[in-house]
This record gives sequence, structure tokens and C-alpha cells, in this order.
Amino acid sequence: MSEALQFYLATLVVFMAVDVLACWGLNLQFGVAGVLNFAFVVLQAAGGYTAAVLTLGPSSATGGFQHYVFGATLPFPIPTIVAGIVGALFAGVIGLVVLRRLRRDYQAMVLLVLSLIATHVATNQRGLVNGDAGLVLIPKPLELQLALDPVVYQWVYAGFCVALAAFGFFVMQRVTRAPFGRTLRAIRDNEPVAAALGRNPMRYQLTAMVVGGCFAGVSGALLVQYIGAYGPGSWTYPTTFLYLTAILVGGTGNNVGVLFGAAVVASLINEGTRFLPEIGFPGLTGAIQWIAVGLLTLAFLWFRPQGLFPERRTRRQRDAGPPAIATAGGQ
Amino acid sequence: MSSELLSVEDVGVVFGGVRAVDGASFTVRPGGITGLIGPNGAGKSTLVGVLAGALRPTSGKVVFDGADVTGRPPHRLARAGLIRTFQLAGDFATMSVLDNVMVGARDGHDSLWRALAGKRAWRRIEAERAEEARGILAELGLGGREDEVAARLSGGQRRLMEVARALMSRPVLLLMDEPFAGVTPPLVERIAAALSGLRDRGVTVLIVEHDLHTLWQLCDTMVVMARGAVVTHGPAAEVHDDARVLDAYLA
Repeated sequence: MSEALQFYLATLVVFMAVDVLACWGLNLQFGVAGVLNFAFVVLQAAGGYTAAVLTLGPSSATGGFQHYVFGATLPFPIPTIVAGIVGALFAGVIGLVVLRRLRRDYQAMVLLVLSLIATHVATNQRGLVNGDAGLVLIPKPLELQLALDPVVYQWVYAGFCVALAAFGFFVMQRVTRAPFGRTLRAIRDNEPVAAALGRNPMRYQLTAMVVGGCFAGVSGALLVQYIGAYGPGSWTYPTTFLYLTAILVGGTGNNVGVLFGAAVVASLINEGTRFLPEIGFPGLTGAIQWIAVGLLTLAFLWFRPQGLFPERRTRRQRDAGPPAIATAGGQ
Repeated sequence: MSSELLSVEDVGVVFGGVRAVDGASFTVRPGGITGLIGPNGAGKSTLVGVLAGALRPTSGKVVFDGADVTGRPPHRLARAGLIRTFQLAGDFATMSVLDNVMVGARDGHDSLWRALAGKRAWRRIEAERAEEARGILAELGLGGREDEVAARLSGGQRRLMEVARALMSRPVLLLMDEPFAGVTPPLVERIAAALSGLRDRGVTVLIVEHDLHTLWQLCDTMVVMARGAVVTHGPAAEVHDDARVLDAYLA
């Protein structure tokens, strides 16, 4: 295989892992807990910028041509972990703002507006994360220490991303299959009834926001440390809609479906075609991508709203069988 | 004071210029089934909203189990044992009947930490709850429908499912908002039988109803409302012969 093709494939694998992790996070918030989080990409950006400023070192160290807050050089994997925590914190703060006293349709509007505000702040407040130009020369984790051939390094990084995605799947399956997930679905389906059964809807939805925000933060960190540059153009609000499309296509509420939807929609349609030759006038390929994404959303909402892999509605014996089986298996 | 489980003290609710509830007072003693009746517009549904914590009264207070619970949010009232059912759409439409009923279990095993700890942390209690839920469903004649999606049930069956879920939550006081509305007679009987069974197990039941036929047989105590206030209140047999009840419905 040629080096260019290997680079292309490794990049695709990294993008897929990033998108799948993000989609699981958004699926927990929207698909399972019913919070239509139109500001999701902000959480990913929070993680991405966090990982960037924690690896770039002080602003002055790179010659002072980039201006950003809190520069540090922390060893891998601390920046990635902190990115997850910051994503969760952002989600918690945003959740506190929108989940209190706002009806669900207004929540979505406020979240979309928050996403736009975040873009404007990052673009215009130059000292925060270098404004419109964004951050560049973000080091790749352990690149110097490992001293590998660049192509081999790409594959090692791609493997790390896949391993993290596998871990993410494991965590998400635990979260959604447990009674906790059932309570979230109950709140999504009928909030007043869930409250009348002793569940605080705001608390549960906030928890889902925080866990989803953690996934978003980690996905942002993985992306940023791979591509090495990150600016306001990398996380515009349509990215959230792209992730929503992936979830709708795969199957809202179903982690396996979301894996499939993210791999196909988010990675192949959007990221994959970036490497295809430009056709027509400049920008046409990009426009066609978004038109395709929009048509796909409409088609699924009309003809198959449950997605390719519908949410599982009945429980398996393994999850809630008669006590005899459970005791034998549980000991 | 302590002999009452629920006491509604001079509750008033004003929406804009409309007095929906105007100084309603009554008490519910522990045990037994109490009916809250009255013609359309008497303020019953508004009062249910106040009792369940969905509405904050403009004046007056609600005391449940010795504590002033006026304006407490619904989830906190539910945790104290005051469980309500809904007049319309009380189901989790996309979830299975069994899942619907199991959400009723209020034992706190649905936390994030339990979920992250893995199946071992919840499998056994979940299996016990599933068994309990299946038992309740079978008792109410919904055995064999556990895996069906709630939205597929008929209106009456959904009402039964709601009753099952309320039983699952082991209420101290069960507040039922028009449980017989739009339910076919055979299912009305089943729901009534389930409520009698609950009373025998020591649960206090408060039924808010518009339609009276089943209620006179089922209830021990009656509260009659008209135009936002309580007209009369007492043992069902006495209230039945009270001329003021007829007046309330004819006025």
C-alpha cells in the first residue's frame, strides 16, 4: 500500500473514532434522555481547545504568534483526560442554564443560540484561543518519545482511537442498559409521569448531559491532537446537525445503530469526501456534502424515523430474567 | 392532627382573574378509599395539580403525613409516598409494558453509579423487580403483554398498566385522576377490584372522578366540590343522601 493511501486510511479511522464517540455522547443526551442539544459541538470544542492549550505550552514558547489562555505542557494522556472533564463541566453548566424552567422546544432554541455565541466569542476574543486564526502546531501525543516512522505513528494513533472508542462503547452500553437508562427513556417519553414516580427529571437529564459532554470532550481532544490545528471553523453548529443525522440514520437510542450511522454518515459522507478530487467550481463538493446530509435526514425522518437499528424495546432474559438465573449468573 | 394522612387547608388557586379553587378544605384519614367528586368546572383537576405538586396554590396549604408539602415539586412528593396517576397520557409510549411498570420501583437502583458499576450491581434487584412487575401485571389481567410497546395497548389497558405501575411504587397515598374515564365496563371493574385490593393492603386511595356510578360502591368517604369549594364531606352513604350533592350537580 502506498504511503498516501495508508495516511488516508489511518486518518479515516481516526475521524470515525472521533465521530462515533461524539455521536454516542449526543445520543445519550438526545436519543436517550430527550435533550435536543443543538450546542453539542461546543462541548467537543471545549475538549479540543483544552487538549490543545495543555500540550502547546506557554503562549510565549512558540514565539508568541499565538495568543491563548493557560498554556501548559502536560504529558499524555493527561490533556485528553482533562478534555473529557472540561467537556463534562461545560455540559453541566449549559445543562443548568437550559434544563431549569425551559420547555423542551425552547431548550433547543437556546442551545442553538449558545452554539452561535460560543463561535463568536472564540472568533472575536483573540486572547482566548487565538481568535479566528485558531491554534496550530498542536503536538501529537508521544510523537517525539516514540520516534516512529510517520506512517507507523498514524496507525498507532488510529489504534489508540479505536481502543478508546471500544471503551466508550462499553461504558455507553452499561449506562443505557442499566435501570439508569430506562429512567432516562421514561423522562424522554413523558417527563411529568416520570416526576410523579419520584424521579427528578432535571437531575437525570443533567447527568446525561455531563456524561455525554465527557464523550464530546474526549472526542475533541482525539481530533485536535491528530490534526494539529483547531479553530472556530472546525466546530461550527452544522457539525451538531451532522451528528444528529448520523444518529437518526443509525437508530436513535441504539448504540450499535449510532456506531453504524456515525461511521457511514459523519465519517464517510463528510470526512471521506474531503479526500476526493474537487469537481465543478470550488466549493461545490462541500455544498453537495451538506445537501446530501440534509436529504438523508429528511428521507429517514419521513420513511424510517426509527433508523436502521431501532432502539430495543423489550428486554432480554439475560438482563432481567427470573431470579434463579440471575443468582446463578451473578455469583 | 396526626390522625390525618392528607389535609387540604383553605386552598385557593387563581388563574388570572379566575378562581379555579376557592378555599377548599378537607382531610383524608389513613386507609380507605376517598372519592373527590363534583361537576365539570368544580376545580377538581386544579386541586389534583396542587396535591401532586404540579401547581402552586395561591393561598392555603397542603399537609401530607404531618409535613407541610405546599408547592413541593412532584418528584419529592412521590418520594414521600404520594403517587399520582394521570387523566390523559400517563404512559411511556415507546417503552415495553414491563419497562413502564418497572419505572414505578422507587428504590434508587437507577443511579448512574450503579449503571457504571455494571450489571452485577443491579441484576439481582432488577430480576426481583421484574418478577414483582410480572406478578402485578398478571393480577391485573395484563399477563403476557409484558413485551408489548405501551403505545399498542388500548386506552383501558393503558389505565390498568398505570395502576400496575402505581402498585409497583408502593404508595402511601395513591391519587387517581379520573381512572375510569373512557374505560370499558369490564376494565372499570378490574381497576375497581385492584383499588379495593390496594385498600385491603393498607394503602390510602383518593379518586378524583366525574362519573359517579362505580364510585358510590367503591368509596368509603366522599368529598363533593362545586365552584371551587368543598360542599360536603363525609362517609359515602351519608353524602349519597345529602341534598347538597344533587344541588351541586344541577346548579
